[in-house]
Amino acid sequence: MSQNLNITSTQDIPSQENQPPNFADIFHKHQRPIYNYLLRMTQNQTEAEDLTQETFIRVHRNLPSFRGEASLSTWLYRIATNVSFDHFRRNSTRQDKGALSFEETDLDGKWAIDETISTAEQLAAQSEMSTCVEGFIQRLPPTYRAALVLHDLQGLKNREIVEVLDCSLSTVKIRLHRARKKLRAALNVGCDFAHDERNIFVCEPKKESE
Amino acid sequence: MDCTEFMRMMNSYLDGDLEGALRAEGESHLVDCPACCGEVADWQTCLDWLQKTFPEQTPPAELWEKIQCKTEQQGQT
Repeated sequence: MSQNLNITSTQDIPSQENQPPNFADIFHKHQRPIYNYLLRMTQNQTEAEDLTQETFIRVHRNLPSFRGEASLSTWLYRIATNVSFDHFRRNSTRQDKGALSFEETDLDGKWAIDETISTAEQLAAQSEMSTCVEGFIQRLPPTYRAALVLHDLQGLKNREIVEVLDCSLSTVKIRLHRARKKLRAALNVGCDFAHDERNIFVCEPKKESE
Repeated sequence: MDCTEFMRMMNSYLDGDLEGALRAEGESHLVDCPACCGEVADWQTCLDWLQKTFPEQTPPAELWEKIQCKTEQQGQT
């Protein structure tokens, strides 16, 4: 179920004279961060493109009710988050025939990072080096993934993430802290960090002998 | 500030959220504590790698046309 899209906290007000901002302007200004957010959440270009379309279609539909009481950027991220969570739920239901909970307990349950199966052999089967990290992130529960991506990749502050995810500051901090811990633990188990011959920082699946 | 106190504030330190006297105390602790210093360096490596793994990409050029088409259809229904 999608969250209520109306945000009541006050931040920068994008509209003038209570007129909703122009949709084309919003799209052209914000398509890049929203597309990148959804790409980082899904790690799939086709899905990111589809979800970006869905996000802006919802923005278009809800723009007349946007009261300018929240940051436009935060409002867009919130819609994009709802769109991505709906997508994950649909996929999960299709695959598991069951409801998907995104909450804290999932970090050790359905969405747990199973460090024991991150063997060198399995990781080596992944074609791109970066999938070494991507795989771990995809195993984070969506709420944790969102906190990590919003903070560490999109550059949002914790107080902004509170509005996007509609939860308390302490919840955001806990999710971010636990997501980072899981990521670091998984990286330590599954990846070797190094500089390659071009002095570019890379990570590789751990060798089986190590 | 001791190691336990610093570790409790590690995330805030990494995020630049520690301010004033607390930040100064944290930085002073790091000067004297190789263990915490190493821990900060490990975290920064991890976060740097995360950012390098997911560089910003340009959205597909045809996105606007597709969205315009759908919103126009929406307007007609």
